Amino acid sequence: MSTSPRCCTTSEGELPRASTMKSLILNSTPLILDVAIFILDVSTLILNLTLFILDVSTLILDVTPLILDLTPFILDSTALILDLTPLILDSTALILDLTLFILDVSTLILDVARTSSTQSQRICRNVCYVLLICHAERSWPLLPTLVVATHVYGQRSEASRNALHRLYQRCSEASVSTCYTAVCDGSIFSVPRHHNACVERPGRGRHGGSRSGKDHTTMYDIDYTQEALEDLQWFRKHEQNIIVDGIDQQLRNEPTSETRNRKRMQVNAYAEWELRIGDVRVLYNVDTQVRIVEIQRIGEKRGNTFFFRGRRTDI
Amino acid sequence: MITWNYRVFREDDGDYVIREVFYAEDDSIIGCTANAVEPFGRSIEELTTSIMDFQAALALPVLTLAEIPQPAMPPKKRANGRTLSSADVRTRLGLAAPSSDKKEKS
Repeated sequence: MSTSPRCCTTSEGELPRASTMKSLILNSTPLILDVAIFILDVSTLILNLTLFILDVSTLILDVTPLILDLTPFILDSTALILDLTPLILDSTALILDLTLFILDVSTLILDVARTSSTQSQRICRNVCYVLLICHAERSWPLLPTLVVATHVYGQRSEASRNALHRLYQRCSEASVSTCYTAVCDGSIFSVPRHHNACVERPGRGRHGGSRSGKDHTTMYDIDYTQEALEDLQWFRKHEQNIIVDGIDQQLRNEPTSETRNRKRMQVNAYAEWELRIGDVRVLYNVDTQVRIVEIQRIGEKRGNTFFFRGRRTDI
Repeated sequence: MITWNYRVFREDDGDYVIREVFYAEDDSIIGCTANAVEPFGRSIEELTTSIMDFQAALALPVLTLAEIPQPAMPPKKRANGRTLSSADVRTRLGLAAPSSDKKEKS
């Protein structure tokens, strides 16, 4: 994957380039681990407290009938305690939810710190975007929710989406709802338009020719299907280099704009688009929601022999 | 691996155009470009070759869009199966990092 410069700027000045950010993230990994361990400790403490509160609640519930038998004064007090009990139980549930949430965030931080796969790098990048969005929105309390939401969405499985949905159900604030929508429709991968003034997209200049429209604001990730990889393996090494470079250069920006080299396909079972790289044709699909170009197949020019209705014919 | 070539199409209005047609490994047609394509090249020599390729299409049977298989459902935006990132593909094939990276390092 191209690791072209990914600079982000704010109105307050230049932010570090993507590579600097990556090294910053790597350097800060021990700190993040420490923080994660600290959060885990705090989580354990909160859990213990929660269990203690639950025990106390149970005790109060047990003692209440006895107190009711004793004095009218205690009856009044008991009624008061009974009124308070649901509140305490609600608080307990809230603390439990918060604990689970903190555990989720801790897991995410540990995951990101521990692994170095492409997906983790993608998650790191998305986390950086989330940080920028939170900074621009002045909504730091949303940060953990956004990070977790982005993480689970990044795994792209039905289970992840369900987990995200459950997370959303736990958070009723309108602002979180907005963020959830942003994650689900993929716009989390691009900073909202009103943030363009302070956020520079990777690989583009600050005034990098960005025209109106979603397609023009964000670079696309390139994914290959297994079939496309197998197709690539038929080519010689220098041809593979030319093809992969050509795909990276021509499909990261505006892959759905028709040009001399990018043609729309008649409806078929494989792909909606075709890219020309010399005599090679690359069939691809584009998911504009999550900014991913998926290379389906790669084909070479047919020789001067073809089969017509099962009959071999030479041109 | 799939292959492609230029083929002459007779359009519904009676016009003749040339499209790129794609073939599966078993030589069955899997699709074609939505619109007619044009000769092109980055040099006169390339343009000449391109025109010759177009000319070769004239020797092949004329197609109509009705002969192009139509799927019941349009292609999915993304495959359900596992995909590989561009970096993973480069690693698998033992290719160099993209040129932009080289420039950055230098």
